Amino acid sequence: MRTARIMLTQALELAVTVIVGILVLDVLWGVLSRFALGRPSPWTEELATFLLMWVALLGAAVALSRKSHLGVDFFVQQLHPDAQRLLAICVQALVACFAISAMVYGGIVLVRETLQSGQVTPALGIRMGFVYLAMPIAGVFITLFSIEQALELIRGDAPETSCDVDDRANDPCHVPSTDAGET
Amino acid sequence: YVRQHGLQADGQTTVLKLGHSLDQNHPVHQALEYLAEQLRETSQGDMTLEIFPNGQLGSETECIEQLQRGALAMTKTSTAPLESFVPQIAVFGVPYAFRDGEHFWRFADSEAGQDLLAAGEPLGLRGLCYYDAGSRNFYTVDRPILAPSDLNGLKIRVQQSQTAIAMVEALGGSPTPIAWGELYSALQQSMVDGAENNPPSFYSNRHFEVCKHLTMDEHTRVPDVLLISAQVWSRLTPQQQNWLQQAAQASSQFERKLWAEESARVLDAVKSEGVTVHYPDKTAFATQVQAMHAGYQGSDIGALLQIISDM
Amino acid sequence: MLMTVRTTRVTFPVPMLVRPKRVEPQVLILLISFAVLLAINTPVAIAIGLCTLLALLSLGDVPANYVIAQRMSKGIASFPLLAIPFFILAGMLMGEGGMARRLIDLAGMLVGRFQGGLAYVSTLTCMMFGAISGSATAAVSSVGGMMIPEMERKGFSKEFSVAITTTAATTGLLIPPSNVMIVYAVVAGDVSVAAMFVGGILPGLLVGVCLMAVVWLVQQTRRTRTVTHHVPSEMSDQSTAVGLRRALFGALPSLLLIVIVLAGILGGAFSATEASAIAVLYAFTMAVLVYREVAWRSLPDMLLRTGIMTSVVFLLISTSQAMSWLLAYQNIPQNIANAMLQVSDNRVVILLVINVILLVVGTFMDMTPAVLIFTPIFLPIVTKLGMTHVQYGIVMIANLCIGLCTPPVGTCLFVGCSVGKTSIARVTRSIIPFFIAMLIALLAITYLPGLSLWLPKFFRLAV
Ligand code: NA
Ligand code: NA
Repeated sequence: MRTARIMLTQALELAVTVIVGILVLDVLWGVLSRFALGRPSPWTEELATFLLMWVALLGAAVALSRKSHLGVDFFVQQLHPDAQRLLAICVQALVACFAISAMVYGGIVLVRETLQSGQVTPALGIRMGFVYLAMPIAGVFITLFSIEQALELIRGDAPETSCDVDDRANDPCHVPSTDAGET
Repeated sequence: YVRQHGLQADGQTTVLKLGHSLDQNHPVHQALEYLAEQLRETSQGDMTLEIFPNGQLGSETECIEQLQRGALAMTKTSTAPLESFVPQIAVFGVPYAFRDGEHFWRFADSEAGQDLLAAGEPLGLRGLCYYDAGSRNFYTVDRPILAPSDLNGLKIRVQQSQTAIAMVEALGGSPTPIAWGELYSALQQSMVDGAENNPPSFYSNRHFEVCKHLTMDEHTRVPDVLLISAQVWSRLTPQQQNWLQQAAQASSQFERKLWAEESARVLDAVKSEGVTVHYPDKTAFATQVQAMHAGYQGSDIGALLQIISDM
Repeated sequence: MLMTVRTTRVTFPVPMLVRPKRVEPQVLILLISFAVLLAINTPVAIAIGLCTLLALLSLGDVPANYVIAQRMSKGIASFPLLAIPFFILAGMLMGEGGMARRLIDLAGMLVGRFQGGLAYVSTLTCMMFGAISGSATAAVSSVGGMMIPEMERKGFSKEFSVAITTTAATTGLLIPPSNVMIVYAVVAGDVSVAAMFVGGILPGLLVGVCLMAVVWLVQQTRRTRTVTHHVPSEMSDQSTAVGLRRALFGALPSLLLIVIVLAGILGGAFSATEASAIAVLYAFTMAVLVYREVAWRSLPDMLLRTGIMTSVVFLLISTSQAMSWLLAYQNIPQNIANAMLQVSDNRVVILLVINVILLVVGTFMDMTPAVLIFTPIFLPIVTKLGMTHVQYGIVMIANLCIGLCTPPVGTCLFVGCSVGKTSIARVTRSIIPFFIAMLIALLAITYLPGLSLWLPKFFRLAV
């Protein structure tokens, strides 16, 4: 199961890397086409927004597998380690619940309905339903990762929130998140 | 067990929620308030309309999607985003499809116009009425557009719509899609040379502070439409459907008057703000887009264009 | 959130409100489930999504899963938001090439000669680094990592050093480019990112000046003065002019990034998003081609880390978009606004109340979720009071900057304490004078609109 997870994560990471690269090139092309060619490219902006949706959702799954999402561990840390572990398992179960109901099920409904209505995107002319595929796909990955993490916790591996508050900055599982350019 | 999506039966009152992207001062918002009032009166409190302005429930495209799924009962949208769902409605975006406002309403009120309004029915979108959104015109920062040749090399902001892009290209300009929220600064900083919209939008978004030339070339007449989710519609009683349809019709009439007043008012207002309003020879522009019209031959839009020009 | 509970309670006896009975259960479900989920350390983004899902399901008349999936996807498919990954990537490219060291040298040449110079150097460097990287925590960890031990050697207390570094770093969120401003501009709807960027300059500088004033005051009241001048060691033997020129030359490429972004936007060359892509191109050229401090083979990893950092923020935005749909659909912002305006229609009082609520929220909530959740709630109120969207955004960010440095949840404080190897409790005492300075700046930003609006209006941006 671990190998499967590693392979899945690597595939996701590759996708995220490539999409971020394409995003940079796409927007730069938009600027260049306006300045150098004098003919603004009509599709760069639309492509960029859809790629952004994909990279954000797929990246969210990778971030989850790396435990990078922001949380409030202040209260949990006051508890006994066993209680911490139990709560960490609950949290993974809740993440899986959300991913399955909103992202996978809701996403599939969204994709199906949008494909049925035949909606096409204004600039690129592609079917909007395919663009929305990012949601259920990311949902499946998030579900798998959270189940895997819950199983690890049940087997008795270290709880997710073991790092001491004051050590957060030095802890590899926290730096990427707090450093996320959002604060 | 059937979920009553998008429709709240609150005791005896049916509450319809309507989301749109305009602000509260816009004539169409006022017409919607009028509609709500009419509905409350004629139904004697049986039906109420709750309006969510300013895009609180999502952009126009997103509200349309929510209607299809029944998450939202009603929305007001421009026909431009509707093109992605109902391709033939793009006919309104074809430049010089209509000779003038009177010609436009003759089509909109005709059987063909009402059929077009109903074309979204299989997709879960029932059109109730058209609202006047006037004519769209070019406005530019410093170079006045008096003839199509003046558009040569000008970067004109357009909506994300293939028809709009094709139109500006046909007239010789460079279509540049930019988010509406960034347009003021884009004009201010000369990222684009001009944009196109109806005079009330030109005024309410304060673009007149930057653009000193408004050219009333009246290239398109892209109306607003009032839509209701087909799922929600089917659950209304025939009596309720009738009330709603009547109120919508009345609000449309009300809005046309309001729009005419507002358009006249803002033209005076922008003139007093130092904007020069030009009235060019429209035929020169119309000739320029003949090839575009010809390109639609054999399509649904081509057929509609024929019907319209025969009116 | 606690304050929100109280304000909603106030609403019930008020007869003018729209169906308060219907609002109540959803508000309760939302608040209680959110509080519980946060307390057990659910990722904040998922907590927002889950409590929204529960509240939507309890409505019964809305296809809850579909609405969440749609709002989550469309809420992040926005061109202005694209600037966030680009500024992260540009900051990363610049950062891996010793940007902090060069900025410290420059700040040392500029303000190092004053009494207690090192504290000013630290403040100024944090401001510059935070400004460029757009990340306060990055500023604390890189600048603090170098400056805190240095300050200690020169006789400053560890706690004072951590306090000044931590608070100064937050000014980078007001001085452009700033990712949280982009988030605000998008959730507030149709707010110009360019106007936000330009509007943040003066308030950011004001906060910095207020912090330096605290340093000055502390110096005055000290019995044994720290007679330390800080001039970069390898430059101390050179004449001031030569040293300054060398330091400027070293730091200029980093500082030029801000200039490129602002000049590009104001000069009309490109939009804020395009400016961020140009910043990436510029940082790439400098780091990889000119200085060769970043190897080609490390680029894929940087792209990946950018993608992951982006998605941490974006999942928050994504689920918050679903939550704000629910809030709007249930008229909650409108009801809170009505209730608050019923309590008092005095502009000064209401702005004060809003600021207090945000300060409380900031003590335990990170900045991005707070902006995402409270913008739709408070914006209608302040708009009615005649405050522009740009000014309110800046007030909100200036306010939440304080929260980044307060316990129990203060990301900047955590990083500062860990870099300075001291405890939160001890720093909290030293940090109080800096909080007071930040509060004074916040009051000025709240009640003097010109601070935020004068520059954007000067450049004729829509405020
Ligand atoms: Na910054
Ligand atoms: Na805090």
